[in-house]
Amino acid sequence: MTHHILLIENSPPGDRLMPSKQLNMFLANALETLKAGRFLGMSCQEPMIVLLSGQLGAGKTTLTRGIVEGLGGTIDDVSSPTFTLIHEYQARRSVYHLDTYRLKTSAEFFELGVDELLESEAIVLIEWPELVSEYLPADRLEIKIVHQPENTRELTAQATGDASSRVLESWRELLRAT
Amino acid sequence: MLPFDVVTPDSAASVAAESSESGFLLAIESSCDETAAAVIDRQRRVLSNVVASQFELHTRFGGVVPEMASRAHVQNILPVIDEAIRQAGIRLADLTAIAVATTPGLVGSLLIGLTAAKTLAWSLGVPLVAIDHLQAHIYACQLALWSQSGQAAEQKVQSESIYPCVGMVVSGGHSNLYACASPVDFELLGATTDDAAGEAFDKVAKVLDLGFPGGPAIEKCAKAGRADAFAFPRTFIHEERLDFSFSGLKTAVLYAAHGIQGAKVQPPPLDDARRADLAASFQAAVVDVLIAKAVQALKKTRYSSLCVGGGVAANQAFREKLEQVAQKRGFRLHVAPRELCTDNAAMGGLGWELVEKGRLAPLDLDVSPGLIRTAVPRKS
Repeated sequence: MTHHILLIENSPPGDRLMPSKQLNMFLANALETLKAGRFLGMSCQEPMIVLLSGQLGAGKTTLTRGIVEGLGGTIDDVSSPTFTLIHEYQARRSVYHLDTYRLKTSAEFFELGVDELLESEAIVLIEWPELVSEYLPADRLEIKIVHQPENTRELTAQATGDASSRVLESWRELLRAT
Repeated sequence: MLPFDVVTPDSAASVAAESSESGFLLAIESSCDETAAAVIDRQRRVLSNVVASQFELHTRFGGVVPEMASRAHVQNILPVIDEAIRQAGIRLADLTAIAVATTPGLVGSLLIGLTAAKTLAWSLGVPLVAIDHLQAHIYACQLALWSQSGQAAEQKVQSESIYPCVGMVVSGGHSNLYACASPVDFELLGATTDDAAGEAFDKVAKVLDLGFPGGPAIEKCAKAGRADAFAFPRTFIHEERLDFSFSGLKTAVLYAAHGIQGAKVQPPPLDDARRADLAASFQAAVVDVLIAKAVQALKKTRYSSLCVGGGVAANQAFREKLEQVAQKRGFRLHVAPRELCTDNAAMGGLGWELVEKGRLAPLDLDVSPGLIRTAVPRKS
């Protein structure tokens, strides 16, 4: 990679006491989506719930591939769980990759035994989280990826609690540093 | 290819009587959405093949049968087993062995099939064998080949083997290529890095407002379209790796259909003609990649047969192109009959291979939800 992922810094300069709980970045191509994911995976030092929103083809699974690699897992193990609903990957921490695309009710989601995963020490990644987000723990990292012209993407991440804020800050630092 | 017929219920009883010495295998499948059970005799004849989502269970047993989640399997499993036994014209006590799919799949769903299988095996005092669902999808080709042959049972099990072969399982959840040395010795050569082929069909059907399930919807719509109208990407097609990626293709169809918000140039409105062209071009791209990778796998393994199973193998355009390429390149081709492409338990006739090799499973057997990559079972 010859250039950096473009961070869109929108917090007021010098505001060190109140770091923004939001992170925006511009992703020029799928390789940058992978790279951003890798840095996020490296930043996940504790159990974490990550919600991945975005239309078809936004890059949710691609970002997940990066995250799993950043967590020390094998990138080739990762594929879309749309049909299979839950994938588990071995990494520094167990990673559960979930997808509600095919589900019709939140009850179907919880019948999969998701409550156990949410309380485990794992990293839980959820694609198409809108169906179930109100039933998930309050502290999570909410990521939205939006298609932009020229096959590029804009990624927005929002931390909603202490643990997710720590991850977000660590992620921001890695993105700035490299 | 001749149609694959389950022995009809009327004749099942007489077949059952004649094969009573050789035995009956009950196969159970609950790895994803379908709860299924089948009875296969030692000659590999399918005496019954019951799938809950297709079978009007709720009219017989009361209540609605929801499609997804473990609870549906719990509700369906016993009626489905009963129905499979009844249709085969046998009694539970006639069973010789129980086979159950234990990998890959959803842990909760797999466990229900496994628990039912263990309970039956223990209570009847018959052996239990654990089936790899993906190996079973390829075995569907073997069952079909034998069902077409008129040979005596013992001979046909000896001869007309589809193995060794390159096995390709293309479905909603998987796009896998295997080197299949025997019915139960598989090595994963490649898999999808993002979306499975069947998933791409469903998602593109949604992009084109064609409804669900996407496979048949795209196939139908594509008939009126030109396959060369759009030059969609064929990811990895010129690379040596035997992996698939359909995510970029899905995105390309999305952009071609609806454009991108804020872009200067927007596509024309999505009318029926454009929809048909998009469907046909998308389908051609998927078929091209699947076949190119299958051919590469044949070269790499030096095997001379290709066996294809899974839901996407029901696609007519795919089947026709496979036939053409097989003829041109001179390899043997076996495609699972349509009835055995989607998830079913009849393909669990694979269990006989394990019974005959003495590869029985202990009663403390567990499920293995993840994809097994090599012939050596992964330690869990």
